[in-house]
Amino acid sequence: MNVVDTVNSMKPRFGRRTMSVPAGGVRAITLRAIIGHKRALLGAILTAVVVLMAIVSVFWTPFDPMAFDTGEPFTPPDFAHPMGTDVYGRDILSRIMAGSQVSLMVAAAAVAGALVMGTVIGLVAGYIGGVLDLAVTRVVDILLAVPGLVFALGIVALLGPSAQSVTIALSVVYTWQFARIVRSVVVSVRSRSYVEAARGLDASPLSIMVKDILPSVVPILIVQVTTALAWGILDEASLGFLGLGVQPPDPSWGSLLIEGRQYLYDAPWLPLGAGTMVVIAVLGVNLLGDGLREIVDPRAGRSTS
Amino acid sequence: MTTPDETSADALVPLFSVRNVTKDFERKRRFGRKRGRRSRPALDAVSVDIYRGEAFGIVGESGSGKTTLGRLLIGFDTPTEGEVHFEGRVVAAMSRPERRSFRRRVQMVFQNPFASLNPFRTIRDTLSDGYARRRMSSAERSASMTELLARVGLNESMLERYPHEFSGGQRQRIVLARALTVEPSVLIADEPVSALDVSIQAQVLNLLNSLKNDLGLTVVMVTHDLRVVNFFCDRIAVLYMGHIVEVGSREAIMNDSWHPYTRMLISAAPNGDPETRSERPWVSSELGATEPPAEGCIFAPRCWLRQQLGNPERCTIEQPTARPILMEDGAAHLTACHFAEEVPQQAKAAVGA
Amino acid sequence: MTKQQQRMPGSDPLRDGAVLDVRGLTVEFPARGRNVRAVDNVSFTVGRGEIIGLVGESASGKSTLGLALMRMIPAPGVVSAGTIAFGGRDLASLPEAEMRELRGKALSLIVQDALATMNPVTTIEEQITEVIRDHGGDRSRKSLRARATEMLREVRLPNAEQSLNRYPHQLSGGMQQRVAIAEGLILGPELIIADEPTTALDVTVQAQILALLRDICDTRGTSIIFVTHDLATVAEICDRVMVMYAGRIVESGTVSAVFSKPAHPYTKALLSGLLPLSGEPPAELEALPGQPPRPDAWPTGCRFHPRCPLWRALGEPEICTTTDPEVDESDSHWAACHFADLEGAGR
Repeated sequence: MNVVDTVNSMKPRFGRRTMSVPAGGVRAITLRAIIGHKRALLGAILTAVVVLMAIVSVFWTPFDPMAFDTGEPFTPPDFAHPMGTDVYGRDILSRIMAGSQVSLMVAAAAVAGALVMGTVIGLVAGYIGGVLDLAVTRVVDILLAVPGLVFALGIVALLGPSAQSVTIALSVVYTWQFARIVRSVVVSVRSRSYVEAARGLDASPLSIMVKDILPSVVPILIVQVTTALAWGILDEASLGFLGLGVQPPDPSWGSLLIEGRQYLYDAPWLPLGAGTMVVIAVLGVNLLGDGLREIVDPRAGRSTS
Repeated sequence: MTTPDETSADALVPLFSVRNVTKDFERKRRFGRKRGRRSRPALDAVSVDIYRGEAFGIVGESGSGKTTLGRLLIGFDTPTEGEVHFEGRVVAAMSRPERRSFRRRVQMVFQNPFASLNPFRTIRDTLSDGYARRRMSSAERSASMTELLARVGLNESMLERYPHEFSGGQRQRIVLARALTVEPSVLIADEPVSALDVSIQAQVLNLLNSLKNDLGLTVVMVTHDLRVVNFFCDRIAVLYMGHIVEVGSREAIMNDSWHPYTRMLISAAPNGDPETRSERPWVSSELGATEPPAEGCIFAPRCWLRQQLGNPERCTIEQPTARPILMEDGAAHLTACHFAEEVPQQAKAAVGA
Repeated sequence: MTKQQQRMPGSDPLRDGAVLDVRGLTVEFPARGRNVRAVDNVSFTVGRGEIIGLVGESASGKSTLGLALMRMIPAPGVVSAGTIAFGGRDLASLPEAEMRELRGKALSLIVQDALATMNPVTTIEEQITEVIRDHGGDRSRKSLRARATEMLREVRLPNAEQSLNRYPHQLSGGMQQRVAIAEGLILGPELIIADEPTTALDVTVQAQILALLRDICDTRGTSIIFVTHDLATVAEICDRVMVMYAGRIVESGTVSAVFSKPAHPYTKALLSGLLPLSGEPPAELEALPGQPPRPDAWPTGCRFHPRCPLWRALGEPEICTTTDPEVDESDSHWAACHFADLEGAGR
């Protein structure tokens, strides 16, 4: 905190606190900022490891993830099979690596879809207001009253279990969360003087939404995206665990977990690898999100003084 | 569209004509009954005319409705009852093209220069909004921006910078430049200098003054600052609790007002002279009744004139309407007081006592 | 709060009748690896029952000075030099525990935003009596209530008794400020530091609060340091005035002397910026160029010289850019300007 801030913070003029200008903003997200922020850096590294593993698996895995009898069934972790083998003698490390593609793709696609749809719905409803806004908020209220996973279950049941169904289902569930958050920011920004000024200059609603309102939403969206990604990975695993995701023999973290469950006492390494990957991925993305939030809004990290 | 015959009469036709406007922010509830009793509307049956080329001041204390009136003029809010006319057209009922043209002709300057610029956009980007619907080549646009910045005392090197790099006074200049991008004919300035340092206020007031004179702007200034109004405005309307209590020329309002509230308001401001500290026998020491009376004059509970006249019944029964006072110089002067003619004499008596 | 204490050698003994004697007070904030002086070598006295105006623009250090007297400078700022003689003690070096005992009791602070200083979920009665209880006063509820009522009557709060049971947000701005003043007064302090106490109020309410403060000084002998940006209110209630610019006092004197014969070009500019309330206004205002400097970029020499009309009129003499103008520590009318005498007023 520099001295000007200190002096300013001590002395709001005319009873109205002068709005402090965000010193961060989206532009504050630089490689240097992330390296300088311990949690963001740790999160970024963990996330990078997981993503890298998924990319590598496209070109190379130690064994063919679908091939039977790469070793003895139920081989405990050893040099040839760092994570052991399953009931059919398939290499678990290869399956985890291959499975990460599905898990990450499903989560990323679901979040991307939700991001676009939710932002558009939230922006339009919040900015236009009126009946449209009322309708959207009611829908959101109702949908958010239903646990997301249950809601997603219903959609998957309707579409039939597959990776695509899970993606669509999660996307729909997350859309409303995005819409709600975007809308709340839009409503608070809508009445700011600079938005009124833009309206007074006869700027088009689209231009106002994109240029004057969206930038205020972005910092919160970044955080929401990371949170949603973490949930996406978890939810995909959960749906997979319930047998509603990717169908055997295709691997995903969720399906690996359910395969491992049956032999949990005999071969505890079966679900361990996939479980660990879920934990690493979720932790990494969450840490990164937390860090980004503090970088984007330096005030968020400080105490509530 | 004006014919030569009309231009001569132009000065007599109000630019803005506010007719019997009431603004009530209390929303009608869709479900259930309204809670509590009816709240006081922000503006209550307000009528006022604003003419082309003048600097018109809207003065009042907090809760007087002055900001609401400013927002109604610019069309950010619509009246609950009554009409705001701009050049003879009802603002709320304008067609789309009419509204477009109205939007560009009437611009707003906001109080807080820290909230009225988008922190995420460069100055160039912010100014570009006003050019979006003007057919200009990018070279013409750049030239126009440079000229505008020079006019408000900034230079083009500032175009690529962000609002947080500027001080309050500079931001208010940028806000003015932004308003001027659409070549407006009216500026509505809501407390344009109250957030600024004393030494910066003078700079911005001088700038506003020269813009008004050079560009022939009509300026409506909404403020609580009587000194600023006395410097800047030609005519002044005084608001009290949603009512216009007096409208007249600057001289008449600031020097010899015909309404007891205006007298009280002006005398309440420290006169800035340590040798003759302000005499203000009529500023009641009781804060008390801030609730407006249900009937009669809204100012009656705090009115020194009423007390001095022995509490005439009329004040608590009949709500005074703004009526013309015959001025020596023949200027139009409206005041909403039953006993306005008594004000000058009784004021002397009150100070003397 | 850590402080490098540096006593002023041979600082004046407390003057007769002076409640507060400040010598060489300096407040520093660390900024970008070095220390900047938000308040720089400020000396003044406050007499009993006196209202002294402290006038300045944003970042002039006037509020920081007020907080320094209360020892309430927010970290990492520190009072790095100077003495604050008050009631036979030096507040600048007093242990925090003793300082806490003095705050509210012997000297109190009234700020602009009264509502922000109040707990929104406790009644006015609790707000006021808490001040007494904090300082180990009378503890019986009944007598506390009686004292609070009496105090609210003294600040002329309408319906004092009923108001005790209300919550801060139920009062108007003027009434909140009266409650804040009552809180500041209830332990009978000798000195009140009032930081823009009427700035957020309407003029009619401001007039009442100013009259109240004046009255309190006259009847109780309380002294007030009235921090404000508004010269008009200074003219209204102050006995003496100090004009601050860029962390220093640039002119000081009785209100009538400073207002009738301002000696510093900055004071002159401020006074000419005080627009007339009635009568013919000037066609154009004399505006100072530029803006008030920030503590991390004080100009060299006289800190006002980049904006000074006199400096320019005199052909930009070098002394203004290199040498600090001399500061007078007396209570007479003085101005920290190399060319103050040229202005015709002088000392």
